Amino acid sequence: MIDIADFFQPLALTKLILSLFFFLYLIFLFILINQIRRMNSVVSQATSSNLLFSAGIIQFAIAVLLLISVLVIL
Amino acid sequence: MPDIFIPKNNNKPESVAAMLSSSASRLHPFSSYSEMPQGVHFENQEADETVLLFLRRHFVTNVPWIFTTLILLLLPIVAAPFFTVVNSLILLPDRYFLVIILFYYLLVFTYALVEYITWFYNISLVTQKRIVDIDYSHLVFHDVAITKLSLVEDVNYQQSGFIRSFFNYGDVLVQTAAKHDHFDFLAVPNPIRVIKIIEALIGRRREE
Repeated sequence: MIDIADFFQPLALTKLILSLFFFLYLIFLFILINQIRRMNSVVSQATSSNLLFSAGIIQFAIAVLLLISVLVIL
Repeated sequence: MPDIFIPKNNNKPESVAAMLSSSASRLHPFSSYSEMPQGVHFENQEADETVLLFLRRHFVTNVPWIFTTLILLLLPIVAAPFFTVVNSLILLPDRYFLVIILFYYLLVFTYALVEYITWFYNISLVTQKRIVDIDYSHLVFHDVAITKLSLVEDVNYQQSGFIRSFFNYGDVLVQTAAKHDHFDFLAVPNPIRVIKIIEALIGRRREE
């Protein structure tokens, strides 16, 4: 049985807050990547646009890895 | 009857093709001014329409956010003694601190990326037919304004201050007779040349 008091232990609370921040950050990155994709269709600038899209995807991947590490490893 | 006054044809606009660089320039990620840029296309571009001018804010205008990013990157190193004191109070394991620091750096890189994107997608284009002004801000807002060159009434520029004069950039203001009555190309490099090119295009249109 899950005891609600366990959530208010300092480590559990830190883990909860970190997970929440990462989740919000992932939503933000999703919007950002979507905007990059949309702006690339408005104006195409050869290879530079793809670099930005890649930068967004890389950040998203790192954030997902960190979220997994928060949820599983910590 | 002999002519009393024959005006010299000094106002004839210089040929646009002669004005623009003969070799088309290739854009790089930090380009803010390009004549006849290669690989630039926009939504609703017509088949016979060529982009003659590609404009963004001068790269110098990015210095404030680059400087802020550098400070934010160095902040954890400077504040390391403070973290040691905080850690002695909270007693968080080191791996938690590692994740927090990594998250912090991700946020800093995201801040830099958002600022760069805001600069990158604020573009003004001049084609042989139209003027296109693309404004992008606040992550989710973008506005695309297009006007025909035949509707352009007046073009002027403002260049005030030491930094703008030193780096040769300024605001080009285009007045039009269309619904969107003005187009502002803010902090673009070589404003005098931009005006000359637009005036030459307007002149050519009016002659036609």
